[in-house]
Amino acid sequence: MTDGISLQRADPLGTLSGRALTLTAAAAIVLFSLVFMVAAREDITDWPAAIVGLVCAAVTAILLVIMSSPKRGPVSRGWAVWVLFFGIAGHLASVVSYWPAAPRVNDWGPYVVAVLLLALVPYRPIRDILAFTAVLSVWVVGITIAQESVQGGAVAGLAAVMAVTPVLALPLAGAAFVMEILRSVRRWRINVLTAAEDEAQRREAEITRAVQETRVGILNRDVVPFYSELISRNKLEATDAHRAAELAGAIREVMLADTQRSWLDELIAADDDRQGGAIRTGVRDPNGLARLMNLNQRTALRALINTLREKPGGGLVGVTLHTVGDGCEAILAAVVDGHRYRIASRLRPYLAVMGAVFSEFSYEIRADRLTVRFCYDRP
Amino acid sequence: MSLGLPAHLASRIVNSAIALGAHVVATVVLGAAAVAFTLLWLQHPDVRSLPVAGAIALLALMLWWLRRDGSPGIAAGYLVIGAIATWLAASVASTYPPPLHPAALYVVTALQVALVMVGGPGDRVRSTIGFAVAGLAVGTVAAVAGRLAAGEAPSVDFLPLLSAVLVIVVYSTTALSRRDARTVQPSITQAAKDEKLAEMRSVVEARAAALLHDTVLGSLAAITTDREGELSDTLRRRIEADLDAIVDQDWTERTGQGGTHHSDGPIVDVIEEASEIGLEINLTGELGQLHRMRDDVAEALALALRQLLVNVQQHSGTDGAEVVLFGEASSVSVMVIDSGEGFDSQAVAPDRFGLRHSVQGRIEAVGGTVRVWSTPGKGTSVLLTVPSLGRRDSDDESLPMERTS
Repeated sequence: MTDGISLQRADPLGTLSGRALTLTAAAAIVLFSLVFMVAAREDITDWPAAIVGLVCAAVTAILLVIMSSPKRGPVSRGWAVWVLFFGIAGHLASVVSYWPAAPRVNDWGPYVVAVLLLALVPYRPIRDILAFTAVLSVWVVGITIAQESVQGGAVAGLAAVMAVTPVLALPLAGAAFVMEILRSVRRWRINVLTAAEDEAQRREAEITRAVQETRVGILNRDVVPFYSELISRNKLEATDAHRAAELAGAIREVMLADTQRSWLDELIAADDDRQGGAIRTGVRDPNGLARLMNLNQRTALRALINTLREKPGGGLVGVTLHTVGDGCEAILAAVVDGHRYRIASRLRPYLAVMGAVFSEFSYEIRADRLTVRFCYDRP
Repeated sequence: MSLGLPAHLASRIVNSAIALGAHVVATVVLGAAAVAFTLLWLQHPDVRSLPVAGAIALLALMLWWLRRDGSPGIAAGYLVIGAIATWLAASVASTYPPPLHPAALYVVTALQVALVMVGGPGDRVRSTIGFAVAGLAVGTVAAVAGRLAAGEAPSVDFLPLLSAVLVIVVYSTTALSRRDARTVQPSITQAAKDEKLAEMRSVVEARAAALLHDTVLGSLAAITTDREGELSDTLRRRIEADLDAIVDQDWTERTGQGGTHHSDGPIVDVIEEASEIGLEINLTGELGQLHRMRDDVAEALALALRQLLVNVQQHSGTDGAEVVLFGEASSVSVMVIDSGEGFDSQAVAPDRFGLRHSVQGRIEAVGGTVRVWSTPGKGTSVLLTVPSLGRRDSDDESLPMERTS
C-alpha cells in the first residue's frame, strides 16, 4: 500500500529538495491571479470581489510557504484544508468579480485550485489528495455550471469540462509521481535494511567475541582466581560464602549498569564528564525511554547527533528524556559554532528527517546553541 | 521513514516519476479533448470532423505505447501523430458555426498540451526538457498551419505555453535542488546500518548476560548456601563447567551446553537435569510440539525453562512444578506452574536478573514472549511462547510482565 503515508514522511530529504517547487507554486499562484485579473480588467464588474480574490490567492500562497517550512513538522490535514479553503474562496471571489459573465478559458480560479492541489501532493497521503481532488472537482464543476446557467454556453457542459481538466490533471499527475517515488523508496529501504541486517549477521561472531572479551576480562580478574583456589583446595571455608556473595554483588552491579545503559548512552557517553556552558552534556533518561524509539527514530537521532559531534573532539550534546502523558518528550541541546544561517543550512536535512519521524517536532538556533524538541509514542 | 532515496538513484527515479506525471496529464487532457469533441458532435454532427476523433484515439494509443516503451523513436512518433491530430483539429475548426468555434479550438489546445506532455525518453533533464519544447513547437506549428489551411488567422494560445513552462520549471528545479539535501542521505543510511549493528550488539549482550547469570552467578549463589567442608561433586562440576565457559568456551558457538541432546531435544534434557537435582517435574501436554521449533529457538526455550526450574527450586519453597507444552499454528508455548510462595513482581530488586536476562531476554531475542502471573502465597505461573517452524519473526512483539492479585 502506498496511499497511507505522505512523501514528506517517506522521503523527507527528497521533499526538502523539492521545496523550491512549492515556493515556485506559491509565487505562480499570486502571479497567475494578478496577471489574469489585469488582463481581463475590462470584464470586471465587481472590483472589491476581485481584490478579495487576489488577497485570498496571496493568503493561500503564504500558507503554502509557512506549512512547507523545514522548521515545521509534517503538514497536517488541517493545514491542507486551510490552504484549499483560501484557494476556493479566491476562486469564488473571482467568479463574483466577473458575474454574470460566462466562464472563459482564462478564468484563473480553476488553475489556482489545480496548482494548490499539486503543491500539496508531497505533504499529504495520496488518499487525502484524491479526496481533495474529488471535492474540488465537484466544486469547480458546480460553480462553472452556475456561471453557464446565467449566460448559457454554445456547447452545454463544455465550460465545465474545460474548468475541471486542470483540477483533475495536475493532482492526478502529482499522485502518480508520488506513488512511483514511494515504490522506489520502499524498494531502496528494503535493500538497505536487508544489507544492514546481513552485515550485522556477518559481524555477529566478531561482536560476540568483543562482548566475551569484555566479560571474561572482568571474570578473569576476580572470579577465576577464586574458583581456581576452590578447586585446588577442594573445600569450602567460612570466608568463601562471604567472598562469593561479594563477587556476585560486584557482577550484578556491572550487569545492572549494562542493563540500564541505552544505545543513546553509548552514542554520547563521551560527553558525560564535559561541560558545555549552559548545556548539560550526556543523557538524562531515568526511565529508560530511549529504548522505546523505533528504528526510524533512532536512525534519525543518531544521524543528527553524529553530525553535531563531527568537529574535532566531538561537539557538545545533551539529551533529556521524560514522559509526557502517555508519550515521551525529548529535548536535545547542542553547542554549535558558526553563523546561524550556515548552521541552519547544514543541519536542515537532518532536522527535516527528524521532523518526519517524530511528532510535535520543533527546533531553535540561538547564539551558539541548538535546541531540538520532539515527541514519540510509547509502544 | 528516515531512509529516503540516495542522490545517485534519485536523479533517475525522480525524472522517471515526473515523466509518469506528464503522461497522466496527457491522458487527462486527451480525455478532455475526446469529451469536448463528443459534446461538439452532439451539437453539430459533421463527417468532416470524424478524422479528428480517429486522430485523438491514435494519439491516446501512442501515449500508451510511449508509456510502455519510452524510447526516443516512440516519443518522436507520438509527436508526429500529435502534430497530425492537431493540424486536423485546427483545420476543421473553421467548419463549425461561429458560436462553436471556441469549443472546437479547445480540442486543438488540449492536443497541443498533450504534445507538451510527451514526458521525454531517458533520464537526462536536458533531453526531457528538449522533448517538451519540441512538443510545444510541433503543436504550435501544426495548429497555426491548420488554421492557415482553413483560411483563418492563427490566434495566440497561452495554455500550451503555460504547460511547457510548468514542465520546464518542474524538471529544472528538481534537477537543481536534488544536489542539496540528498547529499546527506549517505550519513542517514550509515546511521541505519549502525543501528542494526547496535541492535545485534544488544542481542549478543543479552545472551552473554543470560549465560553469565546461568553459570557464574548461579554457582556463586550455590557457594554462599553450601555447607563448609569438602566441595560436593555437584558444586565442583559446576565450578569446573564455569571455568570452562569463562576461559575456554567460544561464545560464538550458540549451543553452549555441549553434549548430545535427548532425541526430543534440549527441553527434555533440561527436565531430566531438574529431576536429577531433586525437583519433581510433571510434564504434560503435546510433546510433539518439541519438534516444531528451529534449533536456536529450542535452545533458547530450554535455557529459559532451566532458569525457571532453578527459580522454582531456589525461591518457591516447593520441590515440584508442572510443565505444560502446547502449540498453535504459529507458536509453541511452555507453561511452568508451581504452587510455591509466589512473589510480587513489582518488588523484585533491579539487580535480580534471572527472569529478565535468562528468561525474558532469551525468549525475546528469538521473537518470543514471556508472561508471568504470580501472587504472594499462591504460586507462580510463567508462560513462554516462541515462534514455531515456518513462521516469520515479527519486528516487535514483547509483551509486558503481568501480575495477578
